[in-house]
Amino acid sequence: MVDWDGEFTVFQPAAGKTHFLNEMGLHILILLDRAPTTLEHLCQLLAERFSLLSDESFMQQIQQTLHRFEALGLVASANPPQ
Amino acid sequence: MSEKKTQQSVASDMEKDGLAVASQLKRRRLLKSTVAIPVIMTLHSGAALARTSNLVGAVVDSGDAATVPNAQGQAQIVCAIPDPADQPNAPPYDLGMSPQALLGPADKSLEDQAAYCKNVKGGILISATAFTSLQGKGLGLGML
Repeated sequence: MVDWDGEFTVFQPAAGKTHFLNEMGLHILILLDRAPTTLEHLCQLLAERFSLLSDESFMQQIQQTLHRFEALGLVASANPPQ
Repeated sequence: MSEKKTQQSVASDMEKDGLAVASQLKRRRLLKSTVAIPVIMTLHSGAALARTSNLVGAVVDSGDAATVPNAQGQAQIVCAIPDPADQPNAPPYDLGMSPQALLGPADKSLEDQAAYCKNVKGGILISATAFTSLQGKGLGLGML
């Protein structure tokens, strides 16, 4: 992972892909790397970090991003504990 | 080179550089101005793409097609098999991740081998250069 003045590049060796992320994109990966979390909690953490309102539109954007990350093999969805 | 040509060349280079810088700045603006939403752009490795396909063009004339001599020195035409068989956007033809080719029966003429390859087996004829390249990618050979 390389920081280019607020832009970040992440190389994924298994897929041979290089991803360009902005700060929020990277922060999502960092938060999920620390511990699994729910969409709601993730949005809350991001909203606090970037001083944003965690409304429905914001949650949809984050959910879309998570789907994209999952399709790229960067994250995996986990079933909540019973 | 005349002075005028040199100036034109330098101006052209500057213009190209300017376009490249403008494009780079536009991309940087895209990433930086959208801090309120997550952004991800993915660059696929050319090597990774190359591993997933083996694209070749077809040779029309059987005389230009790659051949392999048998033990008696008779020419066997190389009949490459596209994978999948149905390729509406060909050419180029994709031979898939495990390229396969069949060698024609040496007791037939090259024209007959070529016709059997194309009309019966749904194969294509490839150049000697393409054949050499595919051999380096683990081309499997069988008999027609």
